[in-house]
Amino acid sequence: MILAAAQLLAPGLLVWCLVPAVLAVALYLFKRRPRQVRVSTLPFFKSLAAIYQEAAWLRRLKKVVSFLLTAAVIAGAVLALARLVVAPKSDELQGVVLLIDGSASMGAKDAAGETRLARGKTWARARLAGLPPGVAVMVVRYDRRLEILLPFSYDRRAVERALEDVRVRPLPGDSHAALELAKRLAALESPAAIWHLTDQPQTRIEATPLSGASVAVPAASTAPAASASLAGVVSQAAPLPNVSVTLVDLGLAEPRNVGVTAVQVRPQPLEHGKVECFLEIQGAPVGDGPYETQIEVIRQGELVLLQRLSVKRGGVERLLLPIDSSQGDEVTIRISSEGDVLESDNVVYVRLPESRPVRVAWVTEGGDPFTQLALAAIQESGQLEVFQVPPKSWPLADGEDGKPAFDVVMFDAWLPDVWDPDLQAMVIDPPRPLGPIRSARLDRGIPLDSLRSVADGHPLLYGVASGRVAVFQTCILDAGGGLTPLWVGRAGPVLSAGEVRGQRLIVMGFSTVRSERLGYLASWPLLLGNAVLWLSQKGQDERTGRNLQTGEVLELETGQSLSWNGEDPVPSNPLSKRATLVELDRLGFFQAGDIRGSAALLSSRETNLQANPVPLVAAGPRKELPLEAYLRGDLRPILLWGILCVLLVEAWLFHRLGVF
Amino acid sequence: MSDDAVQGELFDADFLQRLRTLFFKLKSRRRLKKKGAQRTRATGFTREFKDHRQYTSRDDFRAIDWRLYARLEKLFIRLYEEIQEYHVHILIDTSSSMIEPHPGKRVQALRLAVALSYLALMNQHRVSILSFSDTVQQEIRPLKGQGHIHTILQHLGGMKFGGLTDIDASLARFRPGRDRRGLVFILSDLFGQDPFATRDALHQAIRWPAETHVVHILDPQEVRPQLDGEVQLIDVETGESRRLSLSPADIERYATAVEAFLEELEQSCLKRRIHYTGWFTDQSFEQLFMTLLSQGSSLAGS
Repeated sequence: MILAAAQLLAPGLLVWCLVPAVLAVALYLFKRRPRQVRVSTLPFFKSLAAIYQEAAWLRRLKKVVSFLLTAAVIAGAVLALARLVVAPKSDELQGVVLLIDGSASMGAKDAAGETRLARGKTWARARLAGLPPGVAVMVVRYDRRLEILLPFSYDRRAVERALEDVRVRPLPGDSHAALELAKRLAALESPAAIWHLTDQPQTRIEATPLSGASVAVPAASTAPAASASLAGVVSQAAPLPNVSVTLVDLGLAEPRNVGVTAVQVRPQPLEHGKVECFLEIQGAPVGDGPYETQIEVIRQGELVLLQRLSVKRGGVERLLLPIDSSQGDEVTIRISSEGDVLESDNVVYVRLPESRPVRVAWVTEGGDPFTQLALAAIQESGQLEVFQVPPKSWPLADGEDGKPAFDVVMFDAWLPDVWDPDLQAMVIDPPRPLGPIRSARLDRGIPLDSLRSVADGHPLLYGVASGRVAVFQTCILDAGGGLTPLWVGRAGPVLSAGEVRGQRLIVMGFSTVRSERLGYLASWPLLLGNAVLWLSQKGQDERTGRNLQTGEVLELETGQSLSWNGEDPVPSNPLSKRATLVELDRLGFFQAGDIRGSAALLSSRETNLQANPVPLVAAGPRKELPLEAYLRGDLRPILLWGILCVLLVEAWLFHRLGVF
Repeated sequence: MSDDAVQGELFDADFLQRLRTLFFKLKSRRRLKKKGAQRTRATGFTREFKDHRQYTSRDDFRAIDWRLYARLEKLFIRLYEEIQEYHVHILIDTSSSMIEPHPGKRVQALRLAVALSYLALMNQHRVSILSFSDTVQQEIRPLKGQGHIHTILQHLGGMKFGGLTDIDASLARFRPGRDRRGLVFILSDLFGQDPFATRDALHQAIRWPAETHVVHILDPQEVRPQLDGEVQLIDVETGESRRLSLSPADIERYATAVEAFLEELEQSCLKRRIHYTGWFTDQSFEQLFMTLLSQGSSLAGS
């Protein structure tokens, strides 16, 4: 039965058995012959060893035993080298997936200072000790993404090493997706069991991943690829038989915790150089009274604000903190309350936005006075700098830092010969189609008294009274491509905006000079202002930094490396010629080239710790295994120990007197 | 190698000269004044007067000294010395172990045989040379007279060595004559198939009407061999081989076993009034020979 279930994990290594075979033959052929000495006192020499006083049958028996022991040693070595594995019986447990939650909440400490992860490791070690050797064990760790630390293995020491490598990272966890994927992995060795070590209760695990998290900072285009792909697998997962799940709830009985679950920085309206920080603080639903919380705002190492707040049990408090900052300041917001068990959600790092005015290049032959007037109106706010550039000065020279000197380029009734795909551009009255601008010129033009707005919610039309605008259409815009029609006239789209291959583009198919009423309306400067801000937003995001959630992914260009909190950067792979993706796996300020930002936990799922009424104490008594159970699984350790024992026995039997 | 060459190697002029010197030294030391006879404590019928004793009824009246009766009026008888001629039997072990791997044992055995023969012939005793390995064989018929020393030399020079050692069978077949007092010298290394069987075989000597001397000829290498490491030992007589890995501790154990055997052999001989002499080839021949004779040999005339 055992031999039928045996297989060699590395049968190719059986070739190595030729080595001892060749060695044995070579030793036999070329072994050093002992020196021959003729003596007259052989009986006395024979009396040296008791073996010569034994009977002939006993000597023959010993020769046979010696041969068998030698053959056993060679066979054992070859099988150990080829990794002999004996699978368990078909109806027995074949594999165990040790699914360990490594998210931030697993760092919650009890009164003795022991984290939930450490408690879980202790439990796992106790259970693994009672596991039959023939059961393969896989170690999987997860937080926002899932990581297989050890594939199915019979090597318990490797399991122990993998278990030791599990660390808590300040990232939100996705128990649901991890569990579903673990089920798929466990099905590879069915019947199998999943030991799910987490502090999340069953109800929360069954919920959709991260759906309950009220993350105020939206995951931008840099959403983690791992989670996305993982979710794809999960959605297609079917119920798997022969996989049992054991939830090991490591939650504390009374996890008092207050944490920041959302943060956003935005400029204060009509207050140049001042920002306000929106903060959401949540309290775990345990304990009797509210959490008396102290909020500290530290800018550049100096305490600039100290505030006390009472957070209700299980409640959410939202507040705005005014912050007077200079450009690019780093602000740390730290909260504290008595008995708080989780530290990673008590601190938020925020990089304040850079308030440099937007630089606009207005490329035009003569310059429409209405447009000039409108630009001058919005320029007074101090957030905009407009430079009129004649077409002969095109292309524009870069700034001192080698970057484009302007954030936005306005082409007014003029287009260059070659389209620059890196520009954030606005084209008014395009004379001809060029690049992504697909237009057809109208010979005489069409005066439009009214326009139909098809996307009122677009930021370009914020505050614009589209119904009152009358323009003189000079060209028809193509409704296809990456541009979205915003205004549509009788002959087709008049105003289109959109993002084409990473380039934001606004096309206005009308003439401002011939639109008689446009210059007198307040909507025109509003439209221009919205257009400039919308176009400059993308570059501004990169300048002002990104306040992101841990677990999100940054795309670094070739040669860039990420540094945290002013420390030396972690060098990227110099051999990689592609852009690299870097996961934000810690709290703090980061910088990679021009990209500057911060990372914070910001997860209500992690902050909102659930009380576990039956805290885990011990793994339970260990079951004694039958002897047969030890002859399953990876037999390499048994073989190696057996070889050692055989060698010792052989040495004791035949070599202890040094006489052959 | 021819017999003459072997004879020259064994008994060169220097050895014979030393033998003569040894004989004269022994003669002056033991006062060997008579030839062809050896005085004993017993009285006999020779013409050599020894003493007077009072006559008793059991004495032969023909021995009464009437002249002394005339002077003293008491009966005395004349006592004469009894002169005894010995028959010296020299048994030489000619097995393979006497020539291999230490040929010095053969040389020592033959030289000792020559020396004993010379001494015996010079004292007018009869000398018989016998060889034994798995059986005993008469090599030279009994000789008397010092002129036969060359015959003995010639014969011993051509003596062949080889074969197995079977002391028990050999000594069982050896029967010294009862016509005259015998002296038996066994020159051997006493290494047979079973050392303890050899010891028991020597016990047969107590049945012989002779004074028995066992000269145990050994090479020092046989007591404490210079061996180390893995060796293939081959018995020179049987060809039996054994493969051993020897350490200094093993050599020590071997030496202890051999010395215990020698000690036991000597004690066993002494208990049965057999003279035992250990004869190592690296020691002085003259000294060993004098020691042999000084142990109470009748041949020395003590």
